[in-house]
Amino acid sequence: MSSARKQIIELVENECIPEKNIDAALQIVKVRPSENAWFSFLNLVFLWIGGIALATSVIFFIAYNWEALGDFIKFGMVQLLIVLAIGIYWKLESEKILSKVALFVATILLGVLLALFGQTYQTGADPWQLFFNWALLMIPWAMVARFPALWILWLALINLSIVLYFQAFGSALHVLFNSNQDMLWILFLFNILAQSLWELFASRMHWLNERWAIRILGVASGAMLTSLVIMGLFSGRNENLFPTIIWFCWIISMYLFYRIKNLDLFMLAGSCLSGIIVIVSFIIKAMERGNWDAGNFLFLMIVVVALGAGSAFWLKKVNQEDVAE
Amino acid sequence: MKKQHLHVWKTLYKAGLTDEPKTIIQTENSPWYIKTLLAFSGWFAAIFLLIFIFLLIEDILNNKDLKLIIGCLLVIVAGVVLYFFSNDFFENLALAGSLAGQALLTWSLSETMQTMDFWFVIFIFQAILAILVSNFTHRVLSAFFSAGAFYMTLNEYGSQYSFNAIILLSLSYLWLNEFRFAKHIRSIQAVGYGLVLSLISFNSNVIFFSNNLLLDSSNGINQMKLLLWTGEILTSAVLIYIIWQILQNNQSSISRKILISSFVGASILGLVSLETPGITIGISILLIGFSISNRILMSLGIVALILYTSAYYYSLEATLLSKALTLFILGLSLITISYLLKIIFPKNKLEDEEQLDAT
Repeated sequence: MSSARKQIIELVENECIPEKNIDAALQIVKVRPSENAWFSFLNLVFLWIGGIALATSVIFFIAYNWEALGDFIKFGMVQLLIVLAIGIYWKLESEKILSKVALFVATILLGVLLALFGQTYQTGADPWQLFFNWALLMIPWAMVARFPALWILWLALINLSIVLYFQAFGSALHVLFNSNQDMLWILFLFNILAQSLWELFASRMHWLNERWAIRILGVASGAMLTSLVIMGLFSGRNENLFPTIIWFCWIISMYLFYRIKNLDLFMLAGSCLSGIIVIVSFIIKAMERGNWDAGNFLFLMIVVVALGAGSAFWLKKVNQEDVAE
Repeated sequence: MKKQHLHVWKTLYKAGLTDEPKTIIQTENSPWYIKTLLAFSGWFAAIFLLIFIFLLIEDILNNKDLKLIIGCLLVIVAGVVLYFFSNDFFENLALAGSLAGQALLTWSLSETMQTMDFWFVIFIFQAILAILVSNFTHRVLSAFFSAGAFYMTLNEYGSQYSFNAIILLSLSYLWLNEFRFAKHIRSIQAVGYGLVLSLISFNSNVIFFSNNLLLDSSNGINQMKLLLWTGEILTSAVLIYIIWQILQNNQSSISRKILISSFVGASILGLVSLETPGITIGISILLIGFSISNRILMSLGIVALILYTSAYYYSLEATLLSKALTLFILGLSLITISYLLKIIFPKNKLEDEEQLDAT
């Protein structure tokens, strides 16, 4: 069912509500928030921005006084703040917003502590190890908190570790993959696995059922795979067969899951966008064998318009069917 | 009446705010990501169309009159197609044609006019397109380009620091009064989104610009800082207007305590934003979004806050110590305000779930 805001917009557009009653109507259906709703919202905003501002101020302060501070004070400050944040989470668990903010801040400070450790003792560790260890150490907190944003942070850290690993060591997996796109493959596999597991557990754990988080993972995996197909097409080494097969399987899976099993228009729209990019890339590749003239570009324009319009038409139809139900 | 309208209509009918149901004409209401997909494919197609035109008419690259004529023709034909056809294929085709036409027109004008006049003409031209062309995606893009051209016009006059306040004032007026113009509500929303996107995009540029100017101190750091502060003070004044307008719209449900607390909060934010430019804009967009239960605006407000906080990290005008102090004061102030809210309004309870239903 469409939201109250969307419903009232259509009623207003069709003049079903007299003009003098519109303000009252907006209050009654809560499109204009009540005083209580404003209170909750402002409380949430102030706590989040305030918490992140405090954590960031600590980071900046430590960075400024870096040379002057002794090791004991540096470590002591950061560790004390972590303990304080965890203490707030433990003590105020019933007050959900503040406790989540406190745990998020503690997680960020954990990263600061690891960076401080690496810099003070010059362990010789690579940058990827910092983020990887940060991700490892925060796992217990993420499991206990049952807070989607923490899990997204964890996934972001693992992604970053993978990128930094490949920057340090280059393509180390030529045994598995015969291409220079090893990093993108690993990222794609990791994110698609994360997305699949998230969808699986979201049906059983209510707190995981946040569409924004799943969509971030969908965008990440879709972007990686689309890039792999394009790179395979234009690399000049004829390496597009395997990525294209995987891409087909991915498109079919996205359709089966997000059209039939668990409707999500955003995911379908993303898949359509990936489809448009890949199809047009294949056409451009095919045209490369001939001569480029004005007609080629006119054809490409028509293809893009047709694919875009076709996708929009289909998505709107699916949307209408969903709304009607 | 369609099933999805019944729930809200029943509530309003019981409250005596509406009469018997009329026939609902289902209007275009697809989610933002479908519109974004259309916009992207329009963009993409426009690039191919432009290349096609350049290859077909070889003289066009060197002939500014030809560019102007073909550009105008494309825009007019696209406008007519969008007016008469509501089919997805023609909509997408017209969008591509219009974008290509606008690119040619802009290129031609840039070769014939002085920079100051050029940007002003583009601003007016895009504003006219935003008003006249009856397509949501096209309106968003035209509003975006119009605001961008406005920024460049102000830049030519050395007044780019007033850009934020003017655009924020315009978009807040539109969004906070969207229900007052029933028949044009979608058009207002389209222009509103275009202005929000332009504000977020170009404000980041303003922050970067101020960093560059401060590196080159031949103009005097104090003068640049004064201009930056003027811009932030104007933006803070707009924030106060936004709060006032929200309170006006909610007269029946907002108490005097809220009124005073809001203005105090806005003043504190305004002071802090003198050192952390852009924060007021992010908060303003977030407030507007929440006041009308618009999740897209709220998300854009959060994106804006993240962008400006990142830009602050790279800001060269302040040392790490002063940044740390500013952030500490900001953090402490906001957490204190949150604590004071609970003291001032002890009976208020959390209503997260009820409000989420409305969005």
